[in-house]
Amino acid sequence: MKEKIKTARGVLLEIGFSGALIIAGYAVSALLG
Amino acid sequence: MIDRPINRLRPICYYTGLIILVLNALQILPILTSVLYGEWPIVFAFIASLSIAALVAAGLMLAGAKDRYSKLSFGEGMVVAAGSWFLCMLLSALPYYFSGNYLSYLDTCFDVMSGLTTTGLTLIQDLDHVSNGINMWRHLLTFVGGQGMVVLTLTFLTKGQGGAYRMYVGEAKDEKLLPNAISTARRIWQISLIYLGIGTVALTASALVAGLPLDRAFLHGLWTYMSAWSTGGFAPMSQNILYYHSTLFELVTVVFFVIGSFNFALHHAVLSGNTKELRKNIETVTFSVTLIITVLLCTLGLMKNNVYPDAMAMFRKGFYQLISGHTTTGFMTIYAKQFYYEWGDIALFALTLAMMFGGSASSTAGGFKGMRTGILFTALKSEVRRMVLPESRVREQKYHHIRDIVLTDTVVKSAALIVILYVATFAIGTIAGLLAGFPLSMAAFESASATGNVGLSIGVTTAAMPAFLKIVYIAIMWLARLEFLSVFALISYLVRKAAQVCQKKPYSL
Repeated sequence: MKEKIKTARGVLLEIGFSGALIIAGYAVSALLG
Repeated sequence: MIDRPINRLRPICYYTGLIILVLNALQILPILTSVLYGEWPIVFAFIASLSIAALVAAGLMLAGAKDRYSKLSFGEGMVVAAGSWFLCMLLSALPYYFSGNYLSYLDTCFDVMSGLTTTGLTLIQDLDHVSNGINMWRHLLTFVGGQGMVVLTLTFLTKGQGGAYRMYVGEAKDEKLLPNAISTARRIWQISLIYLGIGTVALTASALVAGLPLDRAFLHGLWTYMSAWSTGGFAPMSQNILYYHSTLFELVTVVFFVIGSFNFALHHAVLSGNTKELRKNIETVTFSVTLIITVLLCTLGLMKNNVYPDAMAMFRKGFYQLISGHTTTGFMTIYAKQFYYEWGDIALFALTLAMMFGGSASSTAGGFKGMRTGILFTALKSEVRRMVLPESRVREQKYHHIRDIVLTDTVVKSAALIVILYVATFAIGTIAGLLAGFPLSMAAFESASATGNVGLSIGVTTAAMPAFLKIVYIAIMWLARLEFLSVFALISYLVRKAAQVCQKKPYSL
């Protein structure tokens, strides 16, 4: 169970990282575009 | 690195046959898909192809059965990796050829190499009406190619078989996530399958929201996930991701292709609880920096040409192609010709640069890789410090990848060598494009796409392009995906064997 929680947290974190890059990309497009 | 001369054909034959057998056994999935949809001519095409591949694999395995437990040298492992990729291209192309969706056998080989290397350039005809079975095979090849065919085969091996790690290294993956190569391969597949479930559900839901009926939404979700995770670029429709006209679908693909471009060692660390690794790792840091620089440059270039009217259009067209190129995915939300006619030189340069940087080492992505860019930048920083600071203040330079690693000359030399080889290959691809009559910007863009295993196209890659250019791109995709050394080992091995035959020296298996 502990391993599954670690995996789920890791997956969420990676999705969050990817989401942060998307937001950064939108911010650049909004600021300059 | 090569610990023993490469001179034993039997174990090379055995492992090559095994890899061919495992990869082609996957044709069962497209066969089932075609049966489900009543695509009988395609079912027969797959059965014929599978039979031929099984015969070749069985022949190779029988020829090498005597030495199947002998340990491969590093050189032999590299020959197996490069050789099996080439033979798999020839054999896995048969369903395409029998399906009648391609104009020539060369075109089918091009598409298989493009799929296996997770490039995504395609020569298929009338993609919008291709059978579900062939589409399943296209995306399956790119999904397996992302993880690696050797990695797939290793998951079926038992611990007793020697040379597993040597073949694993030959496929340009040198990270040991777990103590041995077989458990590492299984962990890689475990991670990919965890995301397969999540990604397919997310993309199926997005496709449903975009208006597709349930069964098509599921197939498109599954196939698009396979391509996104493998940073592949194949899509079931000719308009690629533009077909869906859905911001949600586009955003979900970005999430999965960015994650797919991460190093498997990083996935293993983060999914095992080492969450700090995500912000400390040299590859995520380098990727974030190079992404921001190229996005800024690309956006400025697009602004200069007034290509997109507002921030949302700039984001969905400019940023999407840029991050798709940087992760070496190759998904597109514009038409190929728009790059050439609308984007302008600055934006095209930024995108070409992003494609060259690529994703992470030991991932599904291509390009120089963040690891090497980061190492070379750290080495440069270290050299500048050495020149500027007094000797007493110069410290040992380190970089972080899972743990702190001392930056040695050997590491820098190895990174520089691969980057130089990438640039040389890119130059060869560009010259080939120029010889075929394309302007420099188009030739360079398409060459960067093939070298980086990206798949974005500016319109050069079509079935009408000259045969020599198709062969050059096939070679480039193969070399770049295996990071050169194993292909060089294979060529050297074949040349030595040919020389032995010519000199009539005693020849044995």
